[in-house]
Amino acid sequence: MRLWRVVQNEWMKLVRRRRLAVVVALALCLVGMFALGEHHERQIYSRVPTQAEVSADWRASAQANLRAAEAQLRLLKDSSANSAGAAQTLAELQQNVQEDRYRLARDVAPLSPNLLDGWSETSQFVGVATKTFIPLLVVILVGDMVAGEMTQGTIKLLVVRPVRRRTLLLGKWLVSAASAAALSFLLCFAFLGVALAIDGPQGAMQPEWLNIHVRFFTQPGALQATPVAVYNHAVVWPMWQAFLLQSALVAGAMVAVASIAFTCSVLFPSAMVSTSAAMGSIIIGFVVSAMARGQSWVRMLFTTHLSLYGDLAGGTSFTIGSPVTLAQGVAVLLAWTAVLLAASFLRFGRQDILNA
Amino acid sequence: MNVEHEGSVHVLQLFDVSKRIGGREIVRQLNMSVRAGEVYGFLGPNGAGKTTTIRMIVGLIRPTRGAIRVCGHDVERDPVNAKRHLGAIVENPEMYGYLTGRQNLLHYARLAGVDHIEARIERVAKRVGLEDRIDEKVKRYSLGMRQRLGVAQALIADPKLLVLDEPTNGLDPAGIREFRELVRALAAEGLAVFVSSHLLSEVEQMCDRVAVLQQGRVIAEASVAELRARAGSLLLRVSRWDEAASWLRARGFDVEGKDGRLVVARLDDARVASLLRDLVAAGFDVYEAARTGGLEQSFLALTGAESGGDTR
Ligand SMILES: Nc1ncnc2c1ncn2[C@@H]1O[C@H](COP(=O)(O)OP(=O)(O)O)[C@@H](O)[C@H]1O
Ligand SMILES: [Mg+2]
Repeated sequence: MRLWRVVQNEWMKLVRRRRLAVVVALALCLVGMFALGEHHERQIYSRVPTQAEVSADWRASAQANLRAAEAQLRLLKDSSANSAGAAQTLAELQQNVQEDRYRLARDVAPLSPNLLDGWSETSQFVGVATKTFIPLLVVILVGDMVAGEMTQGTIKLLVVRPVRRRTLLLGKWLVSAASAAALSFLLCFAFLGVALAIDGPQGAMQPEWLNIHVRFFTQPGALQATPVAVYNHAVVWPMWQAFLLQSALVAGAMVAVASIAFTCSVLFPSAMVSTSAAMGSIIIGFVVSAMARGQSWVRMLFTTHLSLYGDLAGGTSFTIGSPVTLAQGVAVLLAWTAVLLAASFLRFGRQDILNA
Repeated sequence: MNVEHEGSVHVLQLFDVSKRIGGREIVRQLNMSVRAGEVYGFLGPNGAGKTTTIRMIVGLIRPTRGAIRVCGHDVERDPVNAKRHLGAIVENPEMYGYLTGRQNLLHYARLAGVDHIEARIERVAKRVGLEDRIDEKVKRYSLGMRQRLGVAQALIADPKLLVLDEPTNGLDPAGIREFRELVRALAAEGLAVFVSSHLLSEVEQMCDRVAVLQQGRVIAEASVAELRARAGSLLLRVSRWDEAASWLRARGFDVEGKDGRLVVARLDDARVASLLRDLVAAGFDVYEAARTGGLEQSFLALTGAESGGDTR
């Protein structure tokens, strides 16, 4: 009951602060940038000479391909893939089989090669944005949730109310998490809307591979292990469904980012310092996880898993040079969130509010 | 000990409250109690520890030792019940400038668990004289209006105890008078008011009882009426003033005369009455008689030479 009232209050303050307007303006800039990029790419595509259209009887060729690939797979079955090359061959065959089966079962023709696919363009852009721009927007939005009230001195008239400090803090966190999730989810769909408006609606049913594992092969003479995507447990989803999942995962990862920013806002009493600290930790984490490629501890950084969809679709494993799964990514983000939130509740619960 | 019973008499109680910050004892062994309907002044120079004490009362900081009870509920162990009866202004009442006055009050009313919030907001806004401007953004309020809104938020939950930290800072004389009248009216309705100040005159005009804080210790506590009656000077304008002066001196009064005015020092109520009676009986005409500096002098007597200074 009290918690609900705290949430109502925090929501009222969040939507009326100037910070929200700044975040929305920045988000619109971002959407505009993406739109410009798409428009540019479309113009390039339109200059490329028209390639052969997809033939009407794509089913026949798909069936032929499928039969050939299945036969080859049966031959390979006995020899285990213990080199990068063999694993690569096996993976390509498996991928072909899965694609053709998907297309034939759902009657999904391949896209014409000189058409841009707005769905996959958006999916790729969101994969990058969720590690870079979107966390920064989230930090700007909630990075002074508590520190702002400390700086302004309004925390005093909040703490003198008949509400426990932990209830106040929980309400504030709930609003931060919900607004971060809502912001990122809506932003994903703003990107999609722009891309579909520019490129056209085709591509919603195209196949998208999920649950791809990545194996690393160390070869004599090679400095780095060679990553190979393994399709043994892969599932194929229509693009629109995968995009929904991706947006939800972005929202989830942004809840973790919001929690980090929130903790900074509890630990640092100045709004400026707390926002900068949160932003700094995300940028530094991002740089570290890019530089320490191949080290297994990189998996433990939260910045590694900001694109949870990449954990699921194999992209993250390639980026960091060691295998990760979605479950690991979620566990890492949850662990960071839990530890940091525990620290903020401990701190805020017993802190002397002297300087506000 | 029956806590509930005690709580009904004493709205605010401090037991041996001390606060140490960074190895320095800011506040030492405070023992105070405030009854319902009483305005309790907390007088001390800047840096004496008034704000620190008030922060402990409202639960912003914890006492290093000792306990504080509001309506019988311990502020540390049972903060929700203790603060249910509490309204406060700590230093400046900072509010959300990007919200309107009404939204600010709505915000605090929700946290205080007020029923019929709309009606309550109307009532407190009217009470502090802010009803016309309540829908404007607080960042456009003047200092005086902010102070009023500060009082309004303190009253929002219909508290039994009002804790005010130097509430008249920054108000003009008219504002101060208005504020004083509001505090007296609230006390008449049965509220207990705990108000800090560094001005003796303010405490004298507003409070029933006063505690004097000096370097973190309460060095004196007394009722204001008692202090006022205890000692002071009498200012007189009489006929034949030089003659009257020697007449009074002959009777052992401490008199100074200048330009037709006499100042008789160190008198309590009884001696003032007898002096006036005798003066008239001796055939002098009394045009004017006024008591001055009563509180101040009793104060100096009470607190010894170390006080004074800033507390005047
Ligand atoms: N955050 C703090 N850290 C250390 N000492 C402080 C702090 N705040 C106030 N003090 C000290 O506590 C003493 C009392 O301050 P305060 O309660 O604000 O006095 P008052 O309100 O009576 O002017 C002062 O000497 C001040 O220096
Ligand atoms: Mg003070």
